[in-house]
Amino acid sequence: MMNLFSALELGKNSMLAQQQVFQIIGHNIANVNTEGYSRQVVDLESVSPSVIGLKDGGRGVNLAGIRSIRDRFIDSQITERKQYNGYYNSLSGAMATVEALFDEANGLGLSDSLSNFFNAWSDVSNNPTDIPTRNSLVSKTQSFALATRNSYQQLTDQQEVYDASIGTLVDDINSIAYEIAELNEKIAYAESSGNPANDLLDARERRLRDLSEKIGINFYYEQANHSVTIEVAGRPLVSYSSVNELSVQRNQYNSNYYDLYIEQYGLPPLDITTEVINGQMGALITARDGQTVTGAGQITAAASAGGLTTLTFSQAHGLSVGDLITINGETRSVTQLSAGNQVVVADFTTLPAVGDAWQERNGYIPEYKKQLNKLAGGLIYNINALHQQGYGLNEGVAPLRDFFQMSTAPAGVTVTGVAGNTVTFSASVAATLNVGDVLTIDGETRLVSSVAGNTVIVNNAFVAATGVNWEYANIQGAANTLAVDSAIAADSSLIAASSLATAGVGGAVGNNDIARQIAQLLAANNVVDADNNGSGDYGTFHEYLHDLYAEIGNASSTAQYELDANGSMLTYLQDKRDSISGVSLDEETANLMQFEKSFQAMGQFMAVISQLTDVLMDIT
Amino acid sequence: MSMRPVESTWYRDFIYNLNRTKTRYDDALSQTTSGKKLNHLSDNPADMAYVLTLRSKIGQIDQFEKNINSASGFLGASESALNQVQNLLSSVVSLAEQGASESTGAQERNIIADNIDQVRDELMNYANTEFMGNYIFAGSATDTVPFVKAADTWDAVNNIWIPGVVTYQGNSDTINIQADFSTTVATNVPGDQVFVNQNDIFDRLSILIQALRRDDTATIGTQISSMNELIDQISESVGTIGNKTSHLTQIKGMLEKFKTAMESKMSSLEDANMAEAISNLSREEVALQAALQAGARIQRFSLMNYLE
Repeated sequence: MMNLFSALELGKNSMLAQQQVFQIIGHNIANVNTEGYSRQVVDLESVSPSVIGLKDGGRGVNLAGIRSIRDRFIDSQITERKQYNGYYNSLSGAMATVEALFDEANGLGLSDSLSNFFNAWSDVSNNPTDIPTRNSLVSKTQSFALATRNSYQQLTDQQEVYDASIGTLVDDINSIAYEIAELNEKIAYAESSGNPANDLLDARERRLRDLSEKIGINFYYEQANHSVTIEVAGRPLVSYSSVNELSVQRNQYNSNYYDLYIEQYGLPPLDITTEVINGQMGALITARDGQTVTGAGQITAAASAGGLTTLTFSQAHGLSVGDLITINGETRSVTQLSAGNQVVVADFTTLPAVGDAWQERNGYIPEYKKQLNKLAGGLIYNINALHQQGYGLNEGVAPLRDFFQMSTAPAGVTVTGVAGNTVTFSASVAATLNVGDVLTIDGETRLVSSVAGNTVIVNNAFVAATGVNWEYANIQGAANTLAVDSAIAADSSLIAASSLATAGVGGAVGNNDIARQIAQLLAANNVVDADNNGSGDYGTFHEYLHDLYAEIGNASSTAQYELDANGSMLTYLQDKRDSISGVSLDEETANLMQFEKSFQAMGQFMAVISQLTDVLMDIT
Repeated sequence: MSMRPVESTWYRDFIYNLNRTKTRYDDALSQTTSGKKLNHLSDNPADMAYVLTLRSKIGQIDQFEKNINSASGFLGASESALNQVQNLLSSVVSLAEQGASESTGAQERNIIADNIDQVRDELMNYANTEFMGNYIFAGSATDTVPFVKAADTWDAVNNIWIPGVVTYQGNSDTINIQADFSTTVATNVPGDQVFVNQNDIFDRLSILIQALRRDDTATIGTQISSMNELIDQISESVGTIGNKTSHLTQIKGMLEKFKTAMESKMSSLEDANMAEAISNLSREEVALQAALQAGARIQRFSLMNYLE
C-alpha cells in the first residue's frame, strides 16, 4: 500500500540512482581522450511493486548495472594487427639504419672507394717507377680496406644493438604479462561478485595491445573466469594468474647473442627464438639473425664424433660456413662443409634423428656481412694471384709477394705433398680451411674446393709449388680483416707492378704488365665466388656490390610499404572501434541535459511530497 | 564510413593524414634541395643499382682517358725525338755527299768525319731521351741508359781513331696501357727496334766516319745510300708512333661519346627535374597548409557551446 513515506523513499532511491548516472557521464567525459577507453552506460530499470497484483504502484527507478560498450571482435582485430605494426615498425627502422651505413647516393660510399682503388692501379701502370704514384695506391688501398672493415663492423654493431634491445624487451614483456595476470585475477573476482569491472577490462585490453605490439601473441578469452590466456609461439605465457616468464640466454654458437626462452611448467625453459616471427621481438630477431625459413629436404643421417656432429641432408642445402641451423629448437653454426650434402656443426644436446626437419635463417644483416666477405675474398684471391707473379722495383728474384695481407699457417702444420689439385698436410686443417677459402703455396694462389681432414682439393692445379711455404685467407670474416700487406704499406717500391725482373742494368722497371692486369680486374667477370663452392662465378666486383645495395634497398622499401599498409589498416580499425566504444562529447552533453531535467523534476516531486507530509504533521 | 564518428576519430584521422601530407612534403623538399630523385637506397632500388653501375663505368672511362693522355705524352716525346734524329741523318747525308766529292781534300774529309762523329754523339743523346724521368727508348728498362758508348779505339793499321762502339743496354719489352675495356696500346718503341735491329745506325755511322778518315771514297759513296736506308728505318718508327697516336685519339673520341650517353642516362634516372620538383614542393606546401587549417577547425562546434 503506497504511503507518503514510501513516496519519499521512491524519491530518494530515484535521485540516488540518477546521481549515479551523472557519475558515469562525468567518467565518460573525463576519459574522452583515454586510449582504449570503452564508454560506459548506466542501465536503469523500474522497480516493481513489492507485491504484484494489488493496487500498489511501482517504487521508482533503480540502477540495474553499469556496462561498457565494447565489441570484442574489433578489439581482437586491433590487438592482432598491432603485432604486424610492431614488426614492420621495428624492421623498417632497422633497415633505415642499415641503408644509412651505405651512403652511396652522395658518392662517398664503398662503390666509389672500390673504383678509386682500381684507378690507383691504373695510375701505377701508367708510371710504374714513380714513388708518389705508388704511395697513392697504398693510401687508396688502405682507404678502401678501412671502408670495408668499417661497413662490416658497423653491421656487427647494429646486431649488438638489436641483441641488447631483445634483452630489455624481454623485461618489458614479462612485466606486462604479470600486469595482465594480476588483472585477470581482479576481473575474475569482480565479475564473480556480480560487479562489472569495466575499467579493469579496458586496462587489460590496453595491456594486451601493448604485448601484441612487442611480441606476436595468440590469445583466448576464458568463459569460466573471464580471464585471457596468452600464448607465445604456441606455448602458454599467461594462464589466468600464472605467468611463464620469457628469459634470454647467450648462445655461444651465434656469436654469443641472446636466444629467447620461455618457462615451462615442470620442464627446463624452451628455446623459441626461431618461433617468434611477429611483433617488435620478431623484427629484432629477423634483423639480427635473418628470417627463419624451413630448410630444404630433411636430415638423412646424423653422426657425432669428438664433439662435432656431421649432418647429411637429402638434397643440396645451400648453406655456407657460419650459417645458423636450428633443429628441434637448438641452434648451431656450420663450421665445415663436406661433400655429399654434409655439414659439420658442434654437438647438439640431443642428436637429431633421421627425418627431422631443420630451419635456417636467411637474409638481413648476416647475409649482408657474408656478401661483404665474399667481395673481400674475391679481391684477395684475384689480386694476390696476379701480384705474386710480379716484381717490385729493383728485384732480380721473384718475391712471390702478397698484395693483401693473408694469415700465416698455424704452427707445426706443414705441407707434405702437392700433386696437381691435391694438397696433403701434416695434420688436419679442417679447423683452419673451408670451401671457398684462399690458399697460397709457394706464391701460387688457389681457391679451396673441398677439405677432408689432411687433404685439400683446390680449383686449379698447382704448377711448381712444392709446399715449402703456405698461407691462407678465410672468406668468413675477410671483410673484417682486409688490409694491404704490411711490408708494402711500409715501402711502396715493393708493389709488384712488373712481370719481368727489375734489378740491375737493363732491369725492366718500366714494365707495367702486372699492374695493368690488376687494374683490368675492375672489368673482369666471374671474380666473386658467390655460391661459395671454390670457384668464381659472379662478377664484376661492382655488380656484386651493387646487387648487395639493391637487396638492402628492396628490403627497406618493402618494410616501409608494409608499415604504411598496416598503419592505414590499424587506423581504420581504431576508427571503427571508436564508432562503437568511443565517447562522443555531444552525446554525453545531451544525456547530461536529459538527466539534469529529470533530476530537477524528481527534486520538485520530493518538495511536493514533503509539503504534503507537513500537512499531515500539522493535523495533529 | 562509420555511423558514429566521435572526437577521437577526428583527431586520429587528422594526425594520420597530416603525417602523410608531411611525408610527401618532406620528400618534395628533399628532392628540391638535393637536386636528386634518389636519396636513399630504398627510394628506387632498381634505378639506384643502375645509377651506381653507370657511375662506375663513367669512372672507368675517366681512367681510360687518363691512361690515354699518359700514353700520348710518352708517344709524343718519342715522336719529337725521332724527328730530330731524322733531321740529323739528313744533315749526315749532306756531309757525306760533300765528303764523297772528288774536290774534297783529305784534310776536309777529316773535319767532316769529326762533324759526323759529333752528330753521332748527338744522335745517341736523342736515343737516350728522358720523359718524366724515364728513358723512352730503353724498352721497359726505363731507368737504364739505353745506349752507352765505349771509348774510341786506335786503329793502328789505318792510323785512325775508331769511334767508340755503342751498345744497347735496354730490353725489347713493350709497355702497354689500357686504352678502353678491351684495347691495349703500346706506348713505346724499344731502342733496339728503332736503332739497331734492321740496321745498326751507330755502327753504320761509325763505318762512314772511318771511311772518311781513311779517304776511302768508294766506301763513302756506298755508305750514302745506306744513310737513306737509315732515314727510312727511322721514318718507319715515326709512322708506327703516328698510327698509335691516331688510334688513341680515335678511342678517346669514342669514349667521350659513350661517356656522354651514360652521363645523360644517369642524370635522367638520378637528377630531379628542377621545375617539376619545385612545383611539387609548392603543391605540397599548399596541401600542408590546408590540412593544418582544417585541423584547427576540428570541434569548433559542440553542444557545450550552446548550453545556457
